[in-house]
Amino acid sequence: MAGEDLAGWAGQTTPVWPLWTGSTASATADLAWANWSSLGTTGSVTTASEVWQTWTYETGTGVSSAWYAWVVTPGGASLIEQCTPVEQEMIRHVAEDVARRVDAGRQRAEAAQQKAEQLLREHLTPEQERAWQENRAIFVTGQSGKRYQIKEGHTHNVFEVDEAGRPVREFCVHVGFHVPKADNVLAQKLALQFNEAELLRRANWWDLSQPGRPLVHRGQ
Amino acid sequence: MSEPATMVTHELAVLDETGDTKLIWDEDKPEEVDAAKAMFERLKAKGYVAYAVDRKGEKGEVLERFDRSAEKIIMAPQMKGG
Repeated sequence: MAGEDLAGWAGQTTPVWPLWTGSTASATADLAWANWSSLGTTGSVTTASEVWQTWTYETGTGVSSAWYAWVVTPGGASLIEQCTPVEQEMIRHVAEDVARRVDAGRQRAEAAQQKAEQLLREHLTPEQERAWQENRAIFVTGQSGKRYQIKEGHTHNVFEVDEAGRPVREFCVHVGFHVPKADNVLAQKLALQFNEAELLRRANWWDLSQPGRPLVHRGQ
Repeated sequence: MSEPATMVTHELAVLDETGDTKLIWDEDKPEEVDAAKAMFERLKAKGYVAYAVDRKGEKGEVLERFDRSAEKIIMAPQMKGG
């Protein structure tokens, strides 16, 4: 029976909705929001920072704070308080380990981006180097003689430009998100210079000179 | 007295999640040439594209076979539409 299933989810005999809203079954979405944000006020409270502070139980933004807060219910019975001291210590160790892994990953990504940036700049002309420093974008002449602008990024970052440097076509084609953005830019540059037809064959294109920016080619 | 021959080194750079991984070889050292060739062929089999470029990256070409005399080879994963 559906009603019994709901009671089972709630772990008691009352339906789920009142638990979510802390009120009667006729409660509104505003009350649900107020409960989730744990501020006890109306649904006019909508700032993300207030919700985040509640979820992390403090003003911090670290992953360990969020992890710890997930097992803590402000103003109510704390799940972590129901654990033994040994279990509590284990939970803290896990939270700290997660935070260390996230930080290590971030450092690896930053180091990779710096290395990729160095490799890219080794293969830029002085003019391209200046443009990269100023605008994080370079102009490249393709094998066909057409001019392109490549902006820093992975997707939707290659543009065919006219004589005035205005973009007339937009291309989305990349080597994958696992490489740093500067690597992707280098690969796109080399492809335009030495393998243009293949890049265009694989790319999705949009015509920027037409209203609505229509898709004119799907990559193969 | 004649001057010692200058060792010319060649470089293979593979674009990857670390930024790039480099392999250097000396044309006169067969084991280094073999190692570079083996990496080249392994990545080509995975679909990587190889570009032989000069040091400034202004001149270059797509490389289908390993060229031991290439100054610098850059290998990138194949492009895909997004």
